Amino acid sequence: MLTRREFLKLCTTASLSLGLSNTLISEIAQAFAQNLIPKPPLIWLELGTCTGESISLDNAVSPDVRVLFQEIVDLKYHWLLMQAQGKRAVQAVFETIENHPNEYILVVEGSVITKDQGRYNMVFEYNNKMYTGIDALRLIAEKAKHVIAVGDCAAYGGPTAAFPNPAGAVGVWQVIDRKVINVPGCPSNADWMTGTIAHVVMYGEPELDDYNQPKMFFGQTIHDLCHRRSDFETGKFASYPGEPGCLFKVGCKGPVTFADCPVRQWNNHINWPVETGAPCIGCANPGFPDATMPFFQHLPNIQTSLKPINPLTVGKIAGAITALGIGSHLTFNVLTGRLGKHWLQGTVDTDETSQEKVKQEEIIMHKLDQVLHKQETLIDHNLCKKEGLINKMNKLVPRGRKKI
Amino acid sequence: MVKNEKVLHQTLATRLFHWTLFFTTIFLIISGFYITYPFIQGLPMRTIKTIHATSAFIFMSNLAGYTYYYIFSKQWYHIILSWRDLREFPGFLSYVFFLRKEHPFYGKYNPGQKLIYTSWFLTGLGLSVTGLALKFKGPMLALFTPYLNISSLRLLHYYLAVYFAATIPIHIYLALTENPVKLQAIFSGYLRRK
Ligand code: HEM
Ligand code: HEM
Ligand code: SF4
Repeated sequence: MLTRREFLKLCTTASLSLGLSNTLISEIAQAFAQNLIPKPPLIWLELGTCTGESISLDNAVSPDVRVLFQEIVDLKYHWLLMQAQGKRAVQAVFETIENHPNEYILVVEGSVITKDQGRYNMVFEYNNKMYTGIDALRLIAEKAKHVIAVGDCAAYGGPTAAFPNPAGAVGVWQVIDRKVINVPGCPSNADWMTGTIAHVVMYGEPELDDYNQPKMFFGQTIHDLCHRRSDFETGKFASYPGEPGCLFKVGCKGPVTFADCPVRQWNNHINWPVETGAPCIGCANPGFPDATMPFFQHLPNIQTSLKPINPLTVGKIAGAITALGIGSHLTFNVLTGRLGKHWLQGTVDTDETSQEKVKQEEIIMHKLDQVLHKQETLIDHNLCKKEGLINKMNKLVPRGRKKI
Repeated sequence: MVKNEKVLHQTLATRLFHWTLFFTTIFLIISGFYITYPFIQGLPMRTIKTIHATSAFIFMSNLAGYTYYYIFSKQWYHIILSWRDLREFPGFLSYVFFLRKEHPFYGKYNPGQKLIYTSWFLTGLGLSVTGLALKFKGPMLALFTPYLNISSLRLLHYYLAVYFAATIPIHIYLALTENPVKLQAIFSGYLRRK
């Protein structure tokens, strides 16, 4: 069996030409054959989503998803990719919970729908009871050995939770009170899912970042791995999608997205967005899609019920208000003669602090304030005898009055 | 009051801090907004980022020094907004908008100046924290998880920069038009009384 170190190396490099899943499966099959590790049961639960992760896995050509579910794990339930139907299919879920507690892996695809006790997302019926997504999730997660959330929806809510989020969609970790391994992406790359599941099977939990994402896949930004990075550094920018050059100006979210797409690539390691001239849309970002939309704009809009707020427009409005404010103030400054008066007075102060007439009692009050403050300062200084940088600075240029 | 008296208005420390602040913020704003919209084809981003990072480093050191100075010299009450300033604010605004000819004596800085300086202190802190998180990612980003992700931090950094960039011209305009006495004091340090 591969050592963990070899496994990680495989995940980050060798995958490129061969395909991670391809290499892994034969290694794992061998480990199973030699009885080095047990083959864990797996329940695949789909909640509020588009089935993108299953399709992404299904797109993996060699080996296909069937081999994956049979060779790496013992698939017990996947509403779409299993042979059993109806009652018997659901029965498999309950049997797995009962017969393999703390052994089975739960993979969740899709966000948890929470509005109105979750009743917009019914996942199955058992013993004449309808189970909502939340019910099913809580029930199955309780006795699972590992919970893996695949896709941005399951991990963080994703597109299902996009503004205004009428269904109250949230990520899995927000609903269950235990650690969830997040494998984001919209959809998640087949390698990310296979790799994480394989790691969990062979070595347990992989090393995770602060969002509980496996570091082996989400440890660096797209921008740091991108082929067009040299164009970025030298300032060669595309002004339209499809042009050569870095896509930063057409809204590439590579700098704020952690994933290894540039080296792993998609559709069986054929290509990835930037190489085809489309900017990264940040689909593995925890805030996707609200925090990365519009996709062809550098900074995201803030969504409000009235209108999306565009950051560049806000910047321009702020600039215009300042310019207008200063312009009109300057006009009045000239017209009222205040400016002329100020400038004519020159650089000699006419009284205590300003050339404006100051009420006598205000000056006295302020003087008293100052004396009091000075005394307090003196007392404090004597108390702690602190010879800080400030004392030295004040010695260098003493505050107070000098006669000339 | 002594005639023709020379009074120290800005210590060497405040002058040094002020002009360092001035140069770093100008560099940061220009390089920062250039990152938002790099409009010159072929101008190396690497250079712009180096300028931004270098000025940011000096900016943060300056901010730390400034804060240290104001805390330990016990002069912070000059530039930090207080409740009393808030009460005086309406009167001050009527002076600013030409409804009154004069304003009472407020101390070293008026409530408007204090409001701006206090807000800049907070903005500077915010820019430093979000900027460091954008630069060093990993451990710094973890501070904000799960409330702010890297994308929202970048947006926040941008909005704080917009605030900075929109308020600095007001400061410069008023410095140039309000009181030439104080304007020269930020260079020379001293005021001369009549
Ligand atoms: C007055 C202070 C500052 C101003 C006005 C400022 C302004 C800006 C602006 C406008 C951007 C472009 C944001 C975007 O559109 O992506 C930016 C980016 C950046 N700033 Fe600052 N900044 C300031 C201080 C700092 C500090 C203290 C740091 C600390 C290291 C910092 C680090 C960065 C980094 C790393 C970026 C690149 C973000 C990216 O491309 O993802 N900035 N800054
Ligand atoms: C051409 C540019 C500038 C000029 C002429 C200028 C002028 C002045 C003047 C005259 C004062 C003293 C006001 C008074 O005594 O009532 C002052 C204070 C101050 N200015 Fe500026 N300023 C400029 C740019 C800036 C910039 C870019 C910043 C930073 C963002 C800044 C931050 C401050 C701060 C924080 C103070 C308070 C100083 C203290 O007592 O610690 N200034 N400035
Ligand atoms: S295309 Fe995107 S990821 Fe690649 S260098 Fe440009 S901004 Fe970075």
